[in-house]
Amino acid sequence: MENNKLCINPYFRLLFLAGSLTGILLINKIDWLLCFYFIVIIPLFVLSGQIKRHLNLLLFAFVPIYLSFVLLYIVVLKEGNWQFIHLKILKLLLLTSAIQITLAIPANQLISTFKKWGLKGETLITVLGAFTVWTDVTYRSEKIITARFARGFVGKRNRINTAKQFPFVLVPMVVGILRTATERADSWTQKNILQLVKGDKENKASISNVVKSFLTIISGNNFSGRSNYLKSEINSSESGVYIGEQPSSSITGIFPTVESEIKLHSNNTDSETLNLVKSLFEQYDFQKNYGKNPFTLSGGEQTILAVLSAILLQPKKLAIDCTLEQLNKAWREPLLIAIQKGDFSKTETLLADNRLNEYGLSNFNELIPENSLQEHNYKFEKPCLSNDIETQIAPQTIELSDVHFSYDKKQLIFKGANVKLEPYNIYHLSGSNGAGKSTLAKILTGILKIQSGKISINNKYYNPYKYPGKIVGYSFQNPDEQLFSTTIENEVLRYLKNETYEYKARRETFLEMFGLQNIRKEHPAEMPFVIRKRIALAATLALDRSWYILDEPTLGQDNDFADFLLTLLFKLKDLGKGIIIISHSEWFADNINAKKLSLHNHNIIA
Amino acid sequence: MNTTQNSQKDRMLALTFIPLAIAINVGIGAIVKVLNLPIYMDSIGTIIATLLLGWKRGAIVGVLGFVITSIFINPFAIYFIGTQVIIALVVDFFAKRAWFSNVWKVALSGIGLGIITAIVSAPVIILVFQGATGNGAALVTSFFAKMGNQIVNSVFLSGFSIEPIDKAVQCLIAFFVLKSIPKNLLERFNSTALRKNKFID
Repeated sequence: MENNKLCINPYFRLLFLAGSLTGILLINKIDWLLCFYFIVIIPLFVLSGQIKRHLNLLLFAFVPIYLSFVLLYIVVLKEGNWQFIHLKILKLLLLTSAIQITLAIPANQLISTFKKWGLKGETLITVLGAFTVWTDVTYRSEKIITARFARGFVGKRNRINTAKQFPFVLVPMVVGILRTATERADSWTQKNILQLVKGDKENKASISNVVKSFLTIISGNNFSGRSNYLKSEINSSESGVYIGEQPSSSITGIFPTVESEIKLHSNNTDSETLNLVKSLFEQYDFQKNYGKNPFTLSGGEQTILAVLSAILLQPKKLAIDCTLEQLNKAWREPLLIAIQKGDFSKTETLLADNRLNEYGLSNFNELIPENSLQEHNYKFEKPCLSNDIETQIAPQTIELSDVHFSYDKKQLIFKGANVKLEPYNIYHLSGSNGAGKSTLAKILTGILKIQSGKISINNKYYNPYKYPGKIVGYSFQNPDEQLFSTTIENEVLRYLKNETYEYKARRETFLEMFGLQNIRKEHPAEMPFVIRKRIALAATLALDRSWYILDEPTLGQDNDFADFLLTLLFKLKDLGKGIIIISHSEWFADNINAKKLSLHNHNIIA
Repeated sequence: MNTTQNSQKDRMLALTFIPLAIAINVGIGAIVKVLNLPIYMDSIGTIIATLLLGWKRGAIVGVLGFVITSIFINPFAIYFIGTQVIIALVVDFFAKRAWFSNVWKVALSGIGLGIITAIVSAPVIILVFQGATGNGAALVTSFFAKMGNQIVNSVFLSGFSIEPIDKAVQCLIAFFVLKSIPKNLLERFNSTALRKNKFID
């Protein structure tokens, strides 16, 4: 938490900036300026907890400047006026530092500071967004680069090959941003963001909503029209909030911390609901996340944040469209119980979900939307298994011995971890949030480098980090971070100059199996989420690898597709592949007959 | 009724897109950092936002993007926020004349943009940095000074030799990125610049 850092008064920030700028421009004595630096600037950096960043700045920004001053004025022009150089650089340093101290506002003080600076309405939202959103995008761009590695597109890891990935990262990043912008625009309209940011107490009509039923299930499979039904219900409702497969689009995105996100949603919440939601957050041990940026949370945590924030707004209708599939049972149950009991008495929850049979719901209405609601212009085929899958790769046993990995000193993930992963097996990888599920996946894929220990393939030493994505194919939870091409067929299996007959046949087989044949020439990003997820899975499995890791492969997918995937994975297993599944669906994990692979005490237990 | 609803929708979309476009500017800086690239691309977000939302919002993206960059990535970006406004204005000028419609025109626009930004940035480089910016451009400036030019002239010459290439590359990247984005996403932005330059029908 940032509470222990000095809280600089917003007015003082401005005064300080104006004062220092005038001083720095007027004073031409090096001694005085040095005094100002050591007596004012340095202590302020220390007190506001930014001294490390400042020292970095000195090293990486001012040393080059100093050198180029020396080059230009001493070496080239031979003026030799050191006094002049030192004065100019010192002034530049002070100026830059003063601006940094003024603008580097701790996340938990952003809103109050900007408000006191007189920003409001759309300007406030824009500036807040500028300070907050880039964390999200930086995270995303790192994930996209990771996906290039995971798909084995990089080849041997070296500087040139890594640098070559740059242009390929841009397109998915911008596509993701445009999609988020459009989805978020809907969510902001539903939530009336301007009102939220204003923070006024609204005088809600005291007549309470009459809710017909607390929970209504909208049944149907993918493309049955249920999403359209939900959206139209929300749009026609006086106040309604829609949350889709990607909870990140329902998080406002401009509030810098989890705490401020929750606080701003609870401006007009009645005390009863507020207490109920608070106790739920406590059950999830959410307080530890309060100081974090919402986009650094895991998928499950984002889901909880998005749903509970929406509940705090007390809309008449709340639509949850396949969002809950990302939650494990322990997190899902208390939420669903509270909704069924009518704890949130002013809100009717409309739920569409593919894993309803796992949820054990008892108290709900059911509604089947009319078929007339056609959702898309395309006709999507059902997936069907093909017998033509072959492999050219011999089965491989992966063994980790005495593996150590930590992100930094604070976050130790693996300590002397040992595990032997055998082919002809499906493993179900489980572990609590932050235990290292995706870290293990990244180590096996070769995205992360182990600090010590040994990885061997068929008893021979092997370093996956050198050739990322060559032994293990890894499909992420979010498809949008791993789609790069402009046509689906090229996405599923990249065009090569000299394609062998087998390679071509493999592309056809996977397009056919995943029901993508009719839309093969279309742009992947133009498809709905369900299909984007299928494309990402097809693309990972179409590459012939000895191991596959699939993160939440059934996300957003109906039971028809889940059944198909189950049989496909069995088939791949019988061909000698090893498969690791990360999934919150108990049904899927049970039916796939997987071996348990759990993370405990910095070790991996098979 | 319908038009007010639509304009309200456009407004909300602009409101959600601006911070994200700022993040493109900052995010590309982060990618360049992760990949250890020897280049410095700081205006792609500004160019894309200008094409999608017009010059005013493009300028907001540029200015705020540079404020963020100066806090977290490169402290000197703050001195060049004026250049970002000019970039938005110039890109808008070219886009309105359909100069973002094919590769050659985009490259030429980029070169034009580079010449203008070189002129606009020069006073800052001279007044704030005395010509010594501590990067590749400072080396080029030193080179011209070595040839016997005055500092002021050297800064301009250095700008003219670097900026057009840099901006042409950035304009081309923005062009290719927009070309590979599905039209149904771009159509949500009711942009005349996109229509004029045939990014959407």
